[in-house]
Amino acid sequence: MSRSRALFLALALVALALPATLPAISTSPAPSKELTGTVRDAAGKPMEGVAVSAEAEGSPVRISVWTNQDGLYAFPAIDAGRYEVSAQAVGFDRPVAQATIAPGQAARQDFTLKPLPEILPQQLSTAEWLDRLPDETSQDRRMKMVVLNNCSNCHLPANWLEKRFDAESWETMFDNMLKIAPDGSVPDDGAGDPVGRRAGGSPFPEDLKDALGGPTGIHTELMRFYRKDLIPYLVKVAGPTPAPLKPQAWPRPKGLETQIVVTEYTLPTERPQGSVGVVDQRTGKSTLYFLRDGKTVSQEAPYTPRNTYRTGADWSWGTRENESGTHDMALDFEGTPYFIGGSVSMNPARDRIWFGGRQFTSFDVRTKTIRVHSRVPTVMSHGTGEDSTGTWAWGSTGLGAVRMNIRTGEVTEFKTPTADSRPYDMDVDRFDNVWLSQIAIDKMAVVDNKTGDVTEIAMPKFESPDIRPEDIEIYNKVGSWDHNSALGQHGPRRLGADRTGDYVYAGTYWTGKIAQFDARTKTFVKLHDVPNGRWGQPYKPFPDRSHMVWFGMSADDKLGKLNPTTGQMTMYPLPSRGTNSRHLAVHDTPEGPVVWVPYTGVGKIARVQFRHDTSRN
Amino acid sequence: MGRHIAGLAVLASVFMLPLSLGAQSRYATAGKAQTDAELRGETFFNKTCFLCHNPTGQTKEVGVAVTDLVGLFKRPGVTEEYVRMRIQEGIPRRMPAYKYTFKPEQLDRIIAYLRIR
Repeated sequence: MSRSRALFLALALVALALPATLPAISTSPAPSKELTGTVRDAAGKPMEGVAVSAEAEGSPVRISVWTNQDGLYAFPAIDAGRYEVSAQAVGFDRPVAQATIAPGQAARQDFTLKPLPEILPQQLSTAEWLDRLPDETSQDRRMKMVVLNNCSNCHLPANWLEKRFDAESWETMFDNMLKIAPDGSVPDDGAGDPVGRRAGGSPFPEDLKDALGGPTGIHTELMRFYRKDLIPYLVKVAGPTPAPLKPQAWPRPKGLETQIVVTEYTLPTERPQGSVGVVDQRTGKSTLYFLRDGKTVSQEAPYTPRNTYRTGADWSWGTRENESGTHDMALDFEGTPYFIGGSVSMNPARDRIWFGGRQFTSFDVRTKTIRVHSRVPTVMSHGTGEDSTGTWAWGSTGLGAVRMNIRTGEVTEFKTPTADSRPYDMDVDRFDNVWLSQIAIDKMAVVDNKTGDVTEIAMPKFESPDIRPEDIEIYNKVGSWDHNSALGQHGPRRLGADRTGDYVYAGTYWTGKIAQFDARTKTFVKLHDVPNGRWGQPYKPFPDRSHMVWFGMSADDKLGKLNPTTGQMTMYPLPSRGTNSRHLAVHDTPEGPVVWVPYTGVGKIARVQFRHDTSRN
Repeated sequence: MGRHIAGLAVLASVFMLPLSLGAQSRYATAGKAQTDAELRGETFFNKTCFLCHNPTGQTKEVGVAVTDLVGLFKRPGVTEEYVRMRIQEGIPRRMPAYKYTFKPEQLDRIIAYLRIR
């Protein structure tokens, strides 16, 4: 037997053995008696909103619940086995216990959390950390905006706030970053940056070069402009003597926010190029589909335990990056989760997943087949979608939108009226019109499906007393983009249309709000404030069947829900730190929605189930 | 243009093109962290060093000699004392100094990991 064949058989045996040897995961979030307990503080007082997590040894699945107002927690039904159970809250230690679950028997595990001498910054999400940084002066508040708008998209600030450097080292890092900042030779090559042009289309002077002598771009110019103020600020907050954090902690989850069950599934690290992964919700086992010689083949992905310090499970280990997570995800008509890595969308029937790039590509969830469709003239950005008739596939591009006839493969481009506006995401509304978020100019563009006309809808200007005249000047001179943004930008990034309602929503990445637009009138409606959302960077909104709008918070390890009728927001906790959870997908069931959250910063996807009626408030 | 493509390839792999995935070799190491010190060290390395010390094209754009540090301690003349000094002091205009970041025990764990990387 060849070595590779023996390895394959060994892996296959491991994969086959997985569901037989590990506990299976319940699909119901209802509380059971199998694992319950109480969490109290050192004085014996019950603690609400403490995350309690259970993980069977060798399992890719981790289940978390939160304590209620009486400090009580109850896991859903879980199979027999040995579990590691932990409890944690910001500002407290993290006790860990072993629990053995036997069929039909109730296991009780109580915890007492001891307060830490001081807030451990690594326990904080990026949003919490930024909120706690000094902001007594206008300049401090201004620099927090600069950090958010110019650093956070590539580097979760909580990650580098863990480190401390003197001015010379920060200068060195700036020099290196300026060599790799996207100066934007795209749209043919990548994310849609215009070659040497500002947002709106006017060119930079030809003699203005970047650090390596190429044509300069928006990212480079914004980094250059803010460098002189940013480095002293970085030395102040993350220098040899770090700035003290404001001691006040954000409140823990309470009330309905605690009435959820989050099941996290660890994704395989080894994935063939271009693979589409599907996770078995019961076992956590992943199967990968990918093209080989033009045909779709499948491969079981054996679970490989990850470095426990890099999983985000222990908050004291802070925020991490590059842990082989997934940026987007999709759900089929049965609610089965798929992960692909790049940006994806589902068709209305939930039997076809679209992903873009240089060509339209789809995955048929019934036949488990990847199909490469037409090549497009301008590379697609983050949005794809399909109309209600199944006739057209759409994608957002650096220039606007591209449409493909799914049957014939014919491709048509639609350009936005404002050139170089960085159309980012897209979605199809219930009228089959196509919405584009123009992140560089705080507008939404709408492609009329019948006429092909493209109109733009402006959002209200973001204003702050801490924005100085020179900030306005550089905004007008250079513009704004996606990875680096001028101050004064809302930054509508990913968007979602209510296919059974009248509204379209976008997360404002730089100002922490959910923007609402009317699909019937093609007008702006309002901005909804996210609680403690100023630094949370709301990302993808996703309306459910009850017209509630779910959204990811890429900097805050939370899942949000907006009731657009009342404006009420509910913020649900995620049990891992450093999730950088951006996208999400919702499966509507008769019992209510099940929300899936992919983690970009940690190698997991999470299923969030609710123990209350989410359609009411 | 080439450097643009290299830089954008990194962006694309993260944000855009699913068919460009598969760069899992970026996470390859010469040895697998197994002890607690190695696992903790690998975590510090991943959070702190990997952004530059990886084999991607974007790293090459920086224009300084950056390697992925695989097999570092197998290289002739590389001593623990030298590695500790380099991490703490950095290299002027090339590598930041980590003397304010790492506590001694954290540095010990990074060294433990680098020995098996």
